Amino acid sequence: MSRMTSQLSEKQLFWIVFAVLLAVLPQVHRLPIWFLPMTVAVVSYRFYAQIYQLKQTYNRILTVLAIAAMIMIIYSQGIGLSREISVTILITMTVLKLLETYTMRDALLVVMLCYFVTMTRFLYSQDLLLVFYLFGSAFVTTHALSVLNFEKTKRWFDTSQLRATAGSLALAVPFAALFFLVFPRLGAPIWGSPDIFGEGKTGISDTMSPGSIIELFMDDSPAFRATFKDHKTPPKNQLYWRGPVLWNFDGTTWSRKKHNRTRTRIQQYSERETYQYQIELESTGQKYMFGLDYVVNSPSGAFLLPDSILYSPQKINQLRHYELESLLLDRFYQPLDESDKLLLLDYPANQNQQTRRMMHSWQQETKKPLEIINRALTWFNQDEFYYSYSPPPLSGDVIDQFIFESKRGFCEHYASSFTIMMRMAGIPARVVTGYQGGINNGEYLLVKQSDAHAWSEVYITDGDKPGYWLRVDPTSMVAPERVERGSRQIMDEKRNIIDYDWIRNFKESMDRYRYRWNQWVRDFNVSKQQALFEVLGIDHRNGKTLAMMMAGILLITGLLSLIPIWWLNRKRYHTLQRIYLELVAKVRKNSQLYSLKNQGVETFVTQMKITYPEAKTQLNHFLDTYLAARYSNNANERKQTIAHLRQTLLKIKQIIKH
Amino acid sequence: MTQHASTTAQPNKNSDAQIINKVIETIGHKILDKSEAIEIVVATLIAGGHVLLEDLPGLGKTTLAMSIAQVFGMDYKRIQLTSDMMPSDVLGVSIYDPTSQTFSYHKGPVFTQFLLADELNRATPKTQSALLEAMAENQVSMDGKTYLLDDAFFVMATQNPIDEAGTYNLPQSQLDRFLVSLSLGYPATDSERQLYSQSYMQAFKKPLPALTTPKQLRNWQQYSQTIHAAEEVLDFLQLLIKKTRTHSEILHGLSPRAGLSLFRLSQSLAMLAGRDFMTPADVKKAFYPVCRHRLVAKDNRPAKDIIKSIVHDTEII
Repeated sequence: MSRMTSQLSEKQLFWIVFAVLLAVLPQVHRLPIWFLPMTVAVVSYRFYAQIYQLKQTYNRILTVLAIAAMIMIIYSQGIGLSREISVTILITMTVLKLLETYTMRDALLVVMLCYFVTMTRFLYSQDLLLVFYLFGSAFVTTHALSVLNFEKTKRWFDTSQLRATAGSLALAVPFAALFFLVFPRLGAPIWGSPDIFGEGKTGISDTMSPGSIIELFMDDSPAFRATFKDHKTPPKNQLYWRGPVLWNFDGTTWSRKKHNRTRTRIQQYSERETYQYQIELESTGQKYMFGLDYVVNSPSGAFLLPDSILYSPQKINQLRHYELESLLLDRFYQPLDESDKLLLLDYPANQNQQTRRMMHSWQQETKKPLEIINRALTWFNQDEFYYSYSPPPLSGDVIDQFIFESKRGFCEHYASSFTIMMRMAGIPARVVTGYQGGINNGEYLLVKQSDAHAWSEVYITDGDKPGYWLRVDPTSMVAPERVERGSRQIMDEKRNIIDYDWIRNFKESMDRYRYRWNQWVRDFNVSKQQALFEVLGIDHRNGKTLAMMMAGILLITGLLSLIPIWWLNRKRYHTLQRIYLELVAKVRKNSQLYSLKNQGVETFVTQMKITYPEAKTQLNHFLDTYLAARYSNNANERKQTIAHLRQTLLKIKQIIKH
Repeated sequence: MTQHASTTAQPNKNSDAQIINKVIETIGHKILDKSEAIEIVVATLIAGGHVLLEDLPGLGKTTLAMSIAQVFGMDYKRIQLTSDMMPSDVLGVSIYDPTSQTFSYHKGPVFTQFLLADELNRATPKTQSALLEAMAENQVSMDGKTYLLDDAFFVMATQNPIDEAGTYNLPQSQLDRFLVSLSLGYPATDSERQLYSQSYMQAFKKPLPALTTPKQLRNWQQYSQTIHAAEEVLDFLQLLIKKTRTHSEILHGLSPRAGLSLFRLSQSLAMLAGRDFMTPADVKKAFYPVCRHRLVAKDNRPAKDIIKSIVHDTEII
């Protein structure tokens, strides 16, 4: 039976299944719900078949299963060419392949598929912890490959073979590093074209409906990092990171206004000092970029919308860096069109009548917008409002219910209610979403998804003076600590989860490592590579040079990979062999004699005696001592013998020279 | 234990080798210029194996056999095999004795110490296999009784390589029973000239003196089995055997029995060299005679060059 069709042992099967499961595991959460039971069933059946020596399942049944799986995938994820569907098909078929993996050939295929599955995880994230995990996964896959090819011992976890696997993976590391640095990069990732792989990622979106932000509060992953120039960080209560601005309200959901004008900078009318900083934005799959209110200049490749949103024409599907300059203002002077003004005063006509009546009564008492705003804020502050992450669900007249009944909610409820209240009182208002706060770790300011926030902006006009936008954060009236200390802290206290300093420290230091990882690895983009090429003196703009370089790199790495092979296969001699080679080396010039060196010491010395009869005695002595030392049963006093052999060698050398 | 054995064997190890070499030298007085072949034959004798000589007539096969028998002081018998020979002509026969009214067994020529089976391929397969069975088992079974052969039973069979009518070639399985196979070949010009000299003619007529005894031979046979083989040497031996099996031009590689033969012959060659351990050179020396009759090249050519190239191409450093 040839090797390719030989049956798998239980140990080999175990390692293959282990590799498949490890490769699949980090993607399970995004796969359809039936995937996990299917995997469990496939793996259990496969082990059952192995133990009870069942014959391989009929091909027809497998075909039916494969078609069924395809239908299920289409049913769960729709049809089309997207990253989701491609990856799901790959993973599902890899798991199903186990059903027909009985021989070496199929097992090798599964191992190769495992490498692909492992790689597809990088299409979603390149986080540092994930890299460690996938290293582990690749290790197990490689070990499965190793076990398929040979088994050092019958033990299931053979430490020496595991070590050998680690060694062979370690050999790959320099090549990986080399390819990482010099393999020519594309301007954008292959999957970066926006529409093929569009999907909603975590992060702030351009709509706000009840409960949409609460998901973010649970998400501890970083949203972005801000590094301030000269470590000049603004006070915490000024850290309003502006994201999408929401204009339209349909009774439950807020959404954006579509603009047809853009600009790149705002007029600088304040003499206040600006803050300069750099943002490292995690991929969001959206087009919004975040900056402190208000951004003065849009960075290259992005522009400012009329409502001061920083907007990128391309979706942000990879780590993005940009430099910003902001003026920290809570008033922002900007003229407002009549049409916009109408939009900002709009609210669903037949809903929330109670609030509407109250606002009308307030409007009767004073016409001054600022007074109405203050009254509303006082109302939030002094009435029994609570900041809560688990508010009762609202339906129907959500504003009425919130203001007069439940009185429990978080920023989303307060911003939304406040904005509608203002509109009802005739004050143009809109909701701004974004992040508030961040953790300063001395080096940079880390803003997590859980720092997501929503606040309001009202437009104040006072007679003929130019109108301005005023930022009002009603949440700060209810829970000032939300703004002072950040959401997560409150959240943790409220949820009363285990909160130890070391966990927090660990998380913080983990993020520092992530930051470095981003800096050195994830953010190694085309421009950084070009800088490297320039240092190396390679013309990176010339396609021909790049092609030549690619070929050259492949050739060099191919040759380099021969080095370990040569090193592992090189001949290793023991001491006595080396002594013999020393003797051989003495007659290197005599090519006829030298050519006999592979024929063994006896043939060689016999011929040498003929060539150098004057050294006959020494050579005889050498031969006898040597043979006894190397082949006899009497292997003691080896050190002395070797010293003696070396002495004899010296004598022979002297005689030959004369 | 081995340590002890080797130290006690030390004193007579060299003297044994001296005697054996003296034996070889003495035989060399009659068979000129063939000391290597003589050495192999003597080594085979000490290894407890049998020799197959393949030569044209008149190249000294009989002389060699006689000389060895004389020097070792062995009983010597010779059978000339022909196609009308029956197994009983070799093994012996039970004859009805009218006086005692019983069958009594008359031992055949196989009951000796040194048997020269001349022109083995002339005998019918039936007779051939009767002899070879006796060789393999060192005993003869006749009429339900078993008769043991001599402890030092040694067969030297000769074969005429010229394809003549009325010969029965030995099958491979039977050939395997011979430890080695040799061919003396024509003597070198100088030696042949010496052959015709007066002094040689006179010396040739005299029988050689017995330098040793069959008892001594049995001791040597036992001692030779204790010759030590280091791992390295065994690796080398194994490698050579493996190469015969993977060689593209060889029909069938060596059998494990052939491997054992190689091992035994190497042991006695080491003993002849006055050592109590084997070296790769011993294995090299033993390889050709062990393989000569066993290996057949693909188109039935003799595998001489292939065998030599295998030895030459297997490196030992």
